[in-house]
Amino acid sequence: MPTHPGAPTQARRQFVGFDLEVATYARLKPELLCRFPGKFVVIVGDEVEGPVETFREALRAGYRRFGLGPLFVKQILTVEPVVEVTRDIVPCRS
Amino acid sequence: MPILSLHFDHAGRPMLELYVGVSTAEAEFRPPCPPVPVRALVDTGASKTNIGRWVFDRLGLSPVSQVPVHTASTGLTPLLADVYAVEISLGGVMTGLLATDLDVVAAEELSGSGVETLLGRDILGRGLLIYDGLERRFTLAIEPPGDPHN
Repeated sequence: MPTHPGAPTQARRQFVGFDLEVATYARLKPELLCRFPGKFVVIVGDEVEGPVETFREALRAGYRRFGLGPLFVKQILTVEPVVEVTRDIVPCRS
Repeated sequence: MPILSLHFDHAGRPMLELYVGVSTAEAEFRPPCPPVPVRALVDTGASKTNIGRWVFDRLGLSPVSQVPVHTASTGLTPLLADVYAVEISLGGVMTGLLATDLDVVAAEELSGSGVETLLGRDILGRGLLIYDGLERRFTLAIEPPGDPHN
């Protein structure tokens, strides 16, 4: 199967939810807030890549290290902003 | 800067055609994939752009984060929603890139017939929107994103 130049040869990782990544971020957040406020980190399982300056850099760093598949990208903030949608939609959570 | 001037649709809504594609970052690591055309509602009530999940399935994307979301029916406790990274461009007569690596919220279902995407203030905040109710048309001018290769 032909691959894009630079593409990792391993198969795309499956998405099984972000419970582990959420726990990893919660555990590391106090230290990350102290040292790297406003920066972005990428978490897969209990492994962390970063910090980096932008969301795009976080994506690139994540795909480079972990390959294609789900990433848990977070900007290190004291309070996470809540998305507001005034329509009655159903948010998707796998 | 592309400037769109369109009439409201038959239901009186400011709708436009967009293309949703793989983010620039992910595109470096996978074969090309054609973008998906979607019908988008200009929604100043959405702080971030929301896209129906079927679009991400069509593009073969995986989520890149999770965010809390308040909607008209969530009450005091926000729900968690998956976040995907995409590229968004204008479709139809006027073309142009709107975002290269935009984090958007996945919606299981978007209420309102014919609406497949809610174009939120994350995009609208980079331009000018004029809503002319008397003439039943709207004008939208969005600053293009910076160089995606920087």
